[in-house]
Amino acid sequence: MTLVVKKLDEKKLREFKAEAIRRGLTLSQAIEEAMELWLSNSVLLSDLDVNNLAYIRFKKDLSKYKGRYVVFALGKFIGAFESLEGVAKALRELRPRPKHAIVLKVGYDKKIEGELEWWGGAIELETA
Amino acid sequence: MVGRSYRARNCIKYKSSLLVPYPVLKIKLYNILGEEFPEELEIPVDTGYEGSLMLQRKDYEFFMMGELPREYWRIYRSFAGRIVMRVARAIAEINDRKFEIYVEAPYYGYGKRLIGRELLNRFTLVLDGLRQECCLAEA
Repeated sequence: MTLVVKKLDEKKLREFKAEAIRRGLTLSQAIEEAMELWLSNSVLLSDLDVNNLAYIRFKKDLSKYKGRYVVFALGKFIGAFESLEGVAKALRELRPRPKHAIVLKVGYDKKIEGELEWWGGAIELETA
Repeated sequence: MVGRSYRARNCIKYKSSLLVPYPVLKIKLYNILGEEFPEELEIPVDTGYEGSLMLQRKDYEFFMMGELPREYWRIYRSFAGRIVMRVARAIAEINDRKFEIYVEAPYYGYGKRLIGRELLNRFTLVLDGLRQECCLAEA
């Protein structure tokens, strides 16, 4: 069906569209997925989701840590470190030991807005 | 005419394929915790792939303790359409030199092992098709 929605926040919609593209979804698929999540009473988030949410909440403070590695695990900000050795030490000390963490080097890792090339690329959907 | 000579170091034989052999690079990988990936990999060189090092999804799990935020993931344009790749940090060891790289794997699908231009451009590489050898070189 077709749905027309008025008075949407443009910035939020732009971000939503961009996130849908990043996840490989069409806008309608993404809206459906969001509706399903909102309607379900128990939303179970993966480590990937909770760490990304922690990152999003922390984003406004990132500029303070330029040149350092910021780490998010177990759904929270773990710390900012000068070296990868520091990151490894902090992650090893966490209990329970996480299976997923976000490590961003502020000002060094680049967000790529466009599409990169992979000439002739094809990926099997199943194990060969 | 360009007068330049390259001294080849560490050559690896091309891998055989059905029709034409292909160049590979030997690479050792470590995750962000410093743990060594259980296999030393010989990964095909793919100059048509703009990214760094693509892995199979199962390999990628070893590196998930150093993943970049979702908004730093990459989108590739390919014959098969758009492909979203997760991105994580890793340490690569090539020719006794260790450095930080990105590893990537498709969000959907099984994936492949490939070395792309982002990583290849950090070396002088000689593709000696006549000898069927891929060599790291010094200018």
